[in-house]
Amino acid sequence: MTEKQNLITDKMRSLIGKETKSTTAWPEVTRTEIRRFIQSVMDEDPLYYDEEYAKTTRFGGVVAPPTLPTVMFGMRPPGSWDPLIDLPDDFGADKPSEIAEKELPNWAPGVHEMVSMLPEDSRHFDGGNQLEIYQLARPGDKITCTSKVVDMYEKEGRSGRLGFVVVDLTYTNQKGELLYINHHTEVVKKNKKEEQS
Amino acid sequence: MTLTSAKGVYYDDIKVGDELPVKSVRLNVPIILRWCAATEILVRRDHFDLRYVQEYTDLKDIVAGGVWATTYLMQHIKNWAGVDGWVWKVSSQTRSHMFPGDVMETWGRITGKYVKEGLGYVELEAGFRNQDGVDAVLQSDVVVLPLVGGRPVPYPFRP
Repeated sequence: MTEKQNLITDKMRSLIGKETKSTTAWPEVTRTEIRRFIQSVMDEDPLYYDEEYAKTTRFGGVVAPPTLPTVMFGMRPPGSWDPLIDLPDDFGADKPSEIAEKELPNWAPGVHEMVSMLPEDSRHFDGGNQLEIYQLARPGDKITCTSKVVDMYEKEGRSGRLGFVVVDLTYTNQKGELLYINHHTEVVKKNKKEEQS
Repeated sequence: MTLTSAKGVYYDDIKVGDELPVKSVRLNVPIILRWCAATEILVRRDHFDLRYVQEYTDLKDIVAGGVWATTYLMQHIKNWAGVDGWVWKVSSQTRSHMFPGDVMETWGRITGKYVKEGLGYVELEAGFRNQDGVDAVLQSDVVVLPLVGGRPVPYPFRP
């Protein structure tokens, strides 16, 4: 099989076992970000906004939902390139080349790096997440995500050959305290058009 | 038995086979859009741009976010565990699309339990399914609960 036919390239495979990226989200955790997040997932638990109540719990104050830090990595820093200006009508987010070329902020920075190496004729999607949660972020926290490539492999699926990229994303606060780890799997497959040709 | 305690549950009160309470929501465009706005996920046009969806995808309508659904379910399980419990592990997969008009509801079932170092570990399967019974999200979770008269679940949680 030639390099072009592979879903997982040799260059990608060479990263297995390596820490590939460490990124700090530009926004810090704020009460406003927490408010927007909890309202969107319809869980207005006073633990997330009522300081007086939260102080009576073992958390000792207001905390953020466990996965809020994840989405903060997709928030664009001010002064960076605005992808919405002159956005082409057909610009989506499931084509690796589009995302990679634009260097958009991404929920999973290490996965983004892998995706940018995918063959042009492939597409990718979220294949699952295994979270281990140890601590919650608080207002004022700056969150860093470090990624490590754990595994990459290919196998036959019902809809053709699939590639799997497994990346551990470790989230810590500004004190270096571990918040959670996401064992993330990204699935890669050939574009339909390419499969037919 | 369906477990309904809003203030949380003790490990001792739970049996394998017990079911978690159900929470449901009828999806509409504003709910889907509010998640996009809160998370600023604006390059995912399949979540809010009907014209894009119709012209450039094979979807019938805009779709709700998979991470939104995963979080909705996870937060529901957190509320069931209560402020003294801890959702430690969440293994989640997105399985099908969710469209405006879909009536989504959570489900959950206790599949195992054990005590380790004075804390109760509860294993459960859960999902978020539509009105046709199709799961959009499936989860396997491990929740840590206090025992009656036992020590509190520590925070930060370091097993």
